Amino acid sequence: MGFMLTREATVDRLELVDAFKGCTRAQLKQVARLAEHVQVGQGEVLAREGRIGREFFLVLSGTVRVTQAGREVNVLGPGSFFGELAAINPGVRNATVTAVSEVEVLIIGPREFATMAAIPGFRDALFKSMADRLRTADARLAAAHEEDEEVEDEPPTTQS
Amino acid sequence: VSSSTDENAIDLLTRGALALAWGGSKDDVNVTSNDGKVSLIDRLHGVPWFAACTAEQLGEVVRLAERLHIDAGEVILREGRLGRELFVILEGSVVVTRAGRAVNEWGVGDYFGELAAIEGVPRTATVTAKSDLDVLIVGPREFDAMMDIPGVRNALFMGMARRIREADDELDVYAEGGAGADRRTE
Repeated sequence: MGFMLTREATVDRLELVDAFKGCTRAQLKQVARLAEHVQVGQGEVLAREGRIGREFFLVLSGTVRVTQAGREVNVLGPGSFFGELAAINPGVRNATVTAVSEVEVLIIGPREFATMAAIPGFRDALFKSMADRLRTADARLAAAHEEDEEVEDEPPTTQS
Repeated sequence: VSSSTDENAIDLLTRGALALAWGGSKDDVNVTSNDGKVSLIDRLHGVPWFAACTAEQLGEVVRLAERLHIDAGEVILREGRLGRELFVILEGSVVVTRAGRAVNEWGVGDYFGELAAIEGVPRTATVTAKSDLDVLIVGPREFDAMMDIPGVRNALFMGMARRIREADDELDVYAEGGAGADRRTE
């Protein structure tokens, strides 16, 4: 998948990323050391729903599309990241992520991710993003429950 | 603090009067007391949240967190209210409600209040003690220092990842009309 770019170039890019705003240049160098900086072509699939994968991805340039069951749920640009759930807690990918343009991306393995999560600046960005996801999911769930109760009294089976 | 079911008692805490409400209770939590009660560090060893911590790190946890006993029936957090403390359950269980609807129940080793602790948003749910509770409370100032402890940080990350997955899975079930979430794998 693509080709690697130099470490200095990676650090320069990271300085522009929101999630790393709280990091020093030395910490960004550490991140660059931990990550693979890769360029992928349009149409390439970075993560596939239902598959096992434990890498964390950070988009440095370009755009990716996030789909679930073939339905587009998000479009992510530079500075966005994904794959943190799988990096933290092994499991299957809950979405497919496809490059919709040429994309420059940092790929970080689970071990390296744990090291990265210790860097306060990044750790806080990660906590914030996860808290936001959880809050959004909870709100949608509450809305779904409410709607469901209006339709029928019995909750749906939670079997999967 | 724990003798009343009056919500104001707990609200006081969430307004930052934590230390005042506590008095000297912190001094007697990190030593084994004369009456043979287990020390807090020993207690923490048995809680999954702190399983990966060294004795030294647990000492740090004890230094940073406050410990509180809460009576069954007391409201610990109220949906919509401000408050930035994170709670870890050492003993007992709580019921989580949103808009009056019970959405979860947490027990020993579970935590709550993390969204407000992280984001500073109002409480997203009401949490009520289902039984007598023994909890650790981490204030907003102590949160960062607490998250410098790898075992504690990972426990929170793991817990949040799990809760996001569970919420997403449940949403999938709704999205598919309750027919069961049979994931498409190509």
